[in-house]
Amino acid sequence: MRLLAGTRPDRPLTLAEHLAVHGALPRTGRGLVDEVEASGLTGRGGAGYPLAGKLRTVLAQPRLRGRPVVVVNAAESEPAADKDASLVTRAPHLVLDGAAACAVAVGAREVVVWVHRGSQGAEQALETAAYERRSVGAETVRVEVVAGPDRYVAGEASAIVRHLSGGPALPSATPYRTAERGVRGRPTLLANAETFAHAGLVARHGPAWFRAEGLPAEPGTMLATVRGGVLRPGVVEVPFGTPVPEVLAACGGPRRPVSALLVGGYGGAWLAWDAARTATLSRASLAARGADLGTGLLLALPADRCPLAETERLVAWLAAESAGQCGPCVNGLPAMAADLTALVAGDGSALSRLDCRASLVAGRGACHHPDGAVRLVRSTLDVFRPHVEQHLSAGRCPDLDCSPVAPLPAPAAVAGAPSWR
Amino acid sequence: MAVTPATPVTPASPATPVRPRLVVDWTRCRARGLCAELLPEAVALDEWGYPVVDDLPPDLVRRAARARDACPAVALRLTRGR
Amino acid sequence: MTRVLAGVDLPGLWSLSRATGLVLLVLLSLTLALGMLATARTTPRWWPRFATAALHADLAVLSLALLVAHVTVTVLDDWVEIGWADAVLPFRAGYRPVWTGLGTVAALLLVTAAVTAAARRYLPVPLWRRTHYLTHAAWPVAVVHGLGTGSDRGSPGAVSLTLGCVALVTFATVLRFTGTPGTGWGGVVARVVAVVLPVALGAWMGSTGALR
Repeated sequence: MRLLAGTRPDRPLTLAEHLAVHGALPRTGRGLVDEVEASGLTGRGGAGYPLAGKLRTVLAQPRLRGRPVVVVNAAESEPAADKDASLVTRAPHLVLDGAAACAVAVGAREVVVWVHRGSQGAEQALETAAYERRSVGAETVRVEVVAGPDRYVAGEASAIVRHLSGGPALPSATPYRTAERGVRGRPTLLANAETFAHAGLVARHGPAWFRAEGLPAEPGTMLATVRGGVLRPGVVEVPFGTPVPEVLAACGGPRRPVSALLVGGYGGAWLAWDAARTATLSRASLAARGADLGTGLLLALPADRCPLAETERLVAWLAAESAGQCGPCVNGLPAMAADLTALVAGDGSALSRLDCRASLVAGRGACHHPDGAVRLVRSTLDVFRPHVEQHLSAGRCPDLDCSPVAPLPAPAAVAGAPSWR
Repeated sequence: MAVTPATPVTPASPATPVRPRLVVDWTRCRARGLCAELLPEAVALDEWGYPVVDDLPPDLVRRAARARDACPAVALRLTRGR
Repeated sequence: MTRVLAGVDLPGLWSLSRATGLVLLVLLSLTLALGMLATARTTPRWWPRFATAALHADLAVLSLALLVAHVTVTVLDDWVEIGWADAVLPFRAGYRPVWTGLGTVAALLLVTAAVTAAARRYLPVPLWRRTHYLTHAAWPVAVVHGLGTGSDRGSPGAVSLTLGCVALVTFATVLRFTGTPGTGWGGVVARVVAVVLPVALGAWMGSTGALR
C-alpha cells in the first residue's frame, strides 16, 4: 500500500497526518526529472505515456512560449471508475505534493487541479488541502482548483486545456502536444492525479524504491476499480503484474460465476473469463489478450447477464456523450448503437453494418472517444460470438437476464441543453 | 475515460521516407465534399459525406495542396507524416 | 471640400466611372450569387462544388481589380469633387457625399472580406467567416450607392441592369436555403421571388419619382 497508505475511509488526511505517514517532501529541483525517468513512472490516465517524457518536452520548450503550468487531471470521467475520486478524497496532499514537485522541476509557478462540477467531495477535499498548505506556508506553488462541465469528454486532456484557456470543455484537434502548447499557448504538464501522486512518492523515496514493486517493464503500483458481480466493489491498490483473480479476490471475489470482465473503461474491451483467469494486471498481459489497462476499471459481468444488451446500453451512452463536433462520431456512434439494438433483436444484416461502421468511425475524430466505442463493439463481437449467434437465430436473448450491470449516469440530454463551459 | 496525452514521437528511420499526409480537422469539417471532388484518388466519402483519407502517393501532393486550399471550412492540413 | 490630387478634366472619364461601376455591380452580383450557391444545401449532381467555389474566388478577384479601376477613374476625374481620401474615408466627398460615402463603405467591406478570405488558413475560423459575411451587407450598400450617385437613374438600360442584378442575387439567396433549382418547391419559390422582387422594386422606384 503506497498511495492509500494510512488513509481513512471517512475523510481526507490532514496535512499533519499526511506528513506523519509519508514524511516531509524533500526540496526538489530539475533533478526530479531524472529520478522520474529512472523510476519508469507512466501515466495512470489511460494512455500510459511516461511522465518523464512529458517533463522533458515541457523543459525543452522555448521561453517565448511562456512559463509552464501544471494541470492535474482529477476529473474521473469514467462513470464506473472511482480511483481518482478515492485518491483525491483520501490523500489529496500526496497528489498536490507530486504536482508541486513537478512544477518546481519544470519551472512552473501554478498548479491547476481540474475536477468535474458534480464531484463535490473531490472539489472540497482539494480546496481544503490547498488551503491547509497555504495557511501553514508550505505552498511552494500556487494551487487552484477548477471545476469544469460534468461531461464524459470534458475530462479529456485537450478539452481541459481548451476550458482553462477560456473556451468550452470540448476536445480540440490541435496539431500541438499539450506539453508543447497547452493552456493559453504555454507549455503544460498535464497528467492524471494518480500519476502525480506516484511522482510525490518518487520524490521522497527515489526510483529504486518505486521499482521495488511491480514488473521490470511496468514498475510500481496502480489503483484498480473493481465493479459488477463481486462481493465488495471498490478501489484497490495493487502492483503491476498482479494476477487478475487476485485483484478480484481483494474485493471479495465474484459473487456468482463471471462470463467476462470489461477492462479499462466503457471505451475498453471485454476479456473472456478464461482469458481473464490467466491474465495479470499489466499492459503486456492484457494487450496479448486484446485488452488495454485504460483507467484500471475491471467490471465483472455475471454469467447470467446478457453481454449484448450491456454493450448496447454502453454504446448508446457513449453516443449520447459525444461532444458533437466531429461528423464520424456524431453520426457513427448512434448508428452503431442502432445496429446493436437490431442485433439484439436478431437482425443478421446489422452484423455487417456494424463491422463496416466500426472501421469507418475509428480514428476519425478530434479525440479518442469514438475509438473507445469501436474497441468495445469489436471486442463484444469477438468475445461473445456464440451468444451473438444465439441472438441471431432466436431473434432475442435466449436465456439471459438483460438488466443492467454497468452503472450509467443519467444522459446529459435529460438535464437540459448541456453546457460546455 | 482515457486521458489522451500526446502521441509519443517516434523518429522516422532512414529506410522509411517521411511523406506528407492530408489531415482532417474533424472539429471544422462540415462534409461539403470539395476535397473528394478534387482528389478522388486519395479521398472517398463515407455514408454521411465525411472524407476518408488514404495515404498520399508522392505525385498527388500538389493536388492535395489544392484540395487543402479549396476546403471551405479550412479543415484540411498538409503535414509531414510521422 | 476635397481637393483632387491629380485631376484630369476629360469628359470621357465620367462615363468610364459609370461604366466601370455598372460592370462592377454585375460582377459583384455574380460573385455573391456564386458564394450563396456554394453553401447551398444540395447541388446539381452534374456540377461539382469545387467549380462553384473556384468561380466565386476568381470573380471576386476580378471584381476587386475592377473596383480599383472604378475608384481610380472616379477620383482622377476632375468633374466631380472626389479625392483619394474619399476612397477610404466615407461621407466626406464634395459630390453627393452620402451616396458616394456608401460606395466607400461597400468598398471597405469588400476589401476586408477579400483579405481575410485570402488569409483564412492563418486566421481563427470564426473571424474569417464573420468578416466574409460582411459581403452580404456590402452588396446592397453598393446597389444603393449606384442608384444614388449615378447620373443614370433615368436610363432604362442602367436601371434594368441593376434590377437584373437584384433578381440574380435574390434567386441565389433563396436557393441557398432551399437547395438545387428544379428540385421541389425551392426552385419555384426562387424563380417567383427573383422576378417579383425586382419588378416591385422598379415599380416602387418609378412611382416615387426616384428615377428621374
